[in-house]
Amino acid sequence: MRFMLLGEQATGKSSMLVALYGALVNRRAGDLRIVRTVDDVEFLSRGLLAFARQESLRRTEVDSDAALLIDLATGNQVVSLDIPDRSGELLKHMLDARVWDPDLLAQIGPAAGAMLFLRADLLAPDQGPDPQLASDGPGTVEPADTVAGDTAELGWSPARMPADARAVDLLQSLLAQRSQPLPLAIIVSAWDRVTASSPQPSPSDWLAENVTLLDQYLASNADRLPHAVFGVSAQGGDFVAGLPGDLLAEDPWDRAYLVGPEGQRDSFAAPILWLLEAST
Amino acid sequence: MNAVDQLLFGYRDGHELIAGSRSLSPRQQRDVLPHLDASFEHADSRQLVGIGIPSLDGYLLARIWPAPERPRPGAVWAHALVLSADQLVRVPLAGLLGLLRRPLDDRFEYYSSALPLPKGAEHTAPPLLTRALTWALQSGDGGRVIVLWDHPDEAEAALVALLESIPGSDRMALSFRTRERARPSSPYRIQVAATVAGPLGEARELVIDPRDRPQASRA
Repeated sequence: MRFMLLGEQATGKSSMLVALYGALVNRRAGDLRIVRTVDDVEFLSRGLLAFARQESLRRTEVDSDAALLIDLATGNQVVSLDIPDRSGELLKHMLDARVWDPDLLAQIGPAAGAMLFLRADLLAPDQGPDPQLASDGPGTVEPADTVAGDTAELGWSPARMPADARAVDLLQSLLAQRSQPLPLAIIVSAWDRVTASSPQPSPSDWLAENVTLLDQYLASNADRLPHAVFGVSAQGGDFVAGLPGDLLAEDPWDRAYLVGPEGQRDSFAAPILWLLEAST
Repeated sequence: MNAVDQLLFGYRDGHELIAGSRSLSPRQQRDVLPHLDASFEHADSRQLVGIGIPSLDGYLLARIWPAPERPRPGAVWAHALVLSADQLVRVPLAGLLGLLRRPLDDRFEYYSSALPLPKGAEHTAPPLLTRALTWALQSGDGGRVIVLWDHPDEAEAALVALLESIPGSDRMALSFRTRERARPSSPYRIQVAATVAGPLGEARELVIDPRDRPQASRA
């Protein structure tokens, strides 16, 4: 059963896979157990080592062919899981250029479900201007010839779309390529940045509050995009700012945590179990 | 004809085109991006890539370096020369490696205009490696070959010499890459690497290992 990981660069896709793998091999995934690893899992083991050293994962290069390919047992059922870990730049470029990446396009039809990744700390309303507006390279559309000064208008390009519009654009493009419903686990990464605030929202409430367009789009298309929202802290905290003292001695799989749609703590198996159930 | 176009890719808002002497269409960017990205295990490593890109109607000769000074772990710099089909046939290729430069700071003026073509330069490479690369080129049905070498950087000049040694009309089709770990089913005709990542499985790469190994002593 193949699940797609959908997310632009630095949205936590590889970190989620590493945290899931750590939970599975260390029996922190409820009833879900690894029966067999089918492919090379070195990148996952190295990821766990990086988390143990309190280092963020290295980015996934564009031509990476890494995947989490394992057989899992849940109850009396054995499920083969295939989750390709593709670079977020592929998706970013696809959205900017409005040209399907052939590999991503080929994944859509056979996929039993997908995880869509959003970064909590980049979507909260107090995070300042969209970084896209400040970082145009020679490959992007130049600002239009307009009035100089602070109020100068900027030319439009897909690269300037805010994150929620880009997510909706992606989902619309996906549905255009697929006739069957696509179960979708929304993964809000860096959830520790959200829970540092008070009061702490549930992931579903956080999405409705901070990613309004996507939330409304999902609600309007619930028949074709059955979905659930999860908050994930794969690292357990911010390595740059420093982990809280009570987490320093913890193993990576005990620091990492996941919050279910209504705000309840759950295991890293929860999105997988939800996708398995939604896709059958 | 007297100047060669160049591109610089690096990490800003993702791995992307930072500067260049020419623009790229979305299709061209998509086509070059996989060849201008890499993952490194060693901070002092680098990779050399040579491949024809049909949508550019040109040949990409690029070097990639780790960029640990950038904010994202795993970021890299990639500096590429884009040779037209005519340049690939007519200009001396040996000196091109000297044009490939890693950025040292955030000033990218060097990368914004086409570079004057250099004169030729001498090739130096270990004889065993040079011979193995020649075997790789001549092997079988033109299939993919992995050449194992402990220091893949040492193959850079020999690979460019190999490109220059074949008829001009065949050069666009010769692709190569040096890397720490060769990948089975890679798109490159020749990979030079210290080891192979994962099992070869159903891949059809020929592996050549010309490295000197101690002979087993006889009792």
